[in-house]
Amino acid sequence: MDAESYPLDDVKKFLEPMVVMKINPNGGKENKKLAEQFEVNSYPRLIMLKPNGEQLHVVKGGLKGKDQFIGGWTTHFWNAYVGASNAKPQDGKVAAQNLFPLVTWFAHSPMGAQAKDAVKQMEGNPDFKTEWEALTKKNEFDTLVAKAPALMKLGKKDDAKAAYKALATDYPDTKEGKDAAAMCKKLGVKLDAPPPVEKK
Amino acid sequence: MRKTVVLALAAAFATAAIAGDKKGGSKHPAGYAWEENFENAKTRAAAEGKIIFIDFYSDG
Repeated sequence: MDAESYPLDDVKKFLEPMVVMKINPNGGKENKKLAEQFEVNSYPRLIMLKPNGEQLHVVKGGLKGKDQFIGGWTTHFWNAYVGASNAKPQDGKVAAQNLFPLVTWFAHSPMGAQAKDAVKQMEGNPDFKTEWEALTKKNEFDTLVAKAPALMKLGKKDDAKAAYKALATDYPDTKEGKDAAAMCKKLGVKLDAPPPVEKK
Repeated sequence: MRKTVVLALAAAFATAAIAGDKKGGSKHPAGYAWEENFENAKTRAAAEGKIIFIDFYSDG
């Protein structure tokens, strides 16, 4: 892949919005530990992780050329969407689950663009709409939970405060929201008072 | 004279190669900001809301 894929502009563009790593498991203890953690037992092994560290997709073997490289990450979700749509055209929930990663993480790829069009066509399906909203909310929550401490670690205190405040305000009933509220107190961030309950 | 020029060029090439190695990532394909440390990658990805792409490779 070093010769056939990485030098290509389309591959560079595809990986541009990502944090990229090349790891040789024989290159030290830490690398070996990571390979074990991700259960790597053959090479190349390509892995994508969401910002919260959750595994998004794994590709076993090399991806050569731009179509194979980009398709290696997106075809899996697209084919699952098409297969499920053919089997159960009205199953909006499964359609949402397969289109969501394409639109969220691979919008800058050709299949991401196709997925956006498919989403427009599915919008009238109530199951699709409900699942899409649930996936969006979960993704926003997961991203925020990972973001706040990471910003703190990087010394971006003001941004971290804003992230903790958003977490505490938007998800007050979750453990993470309560922890964020405690963090806000520690950092001197004033939380907005909840809206008053209307008297009937 | 020719020998001196060849030696100077070889020294310059070696210095550039060492400098490249010190910068990190020079052994990997050009045009990417290869992250060398997984903990740093995780922190950056979380802070910036980005995906982490990992290529496990073997040189053996």
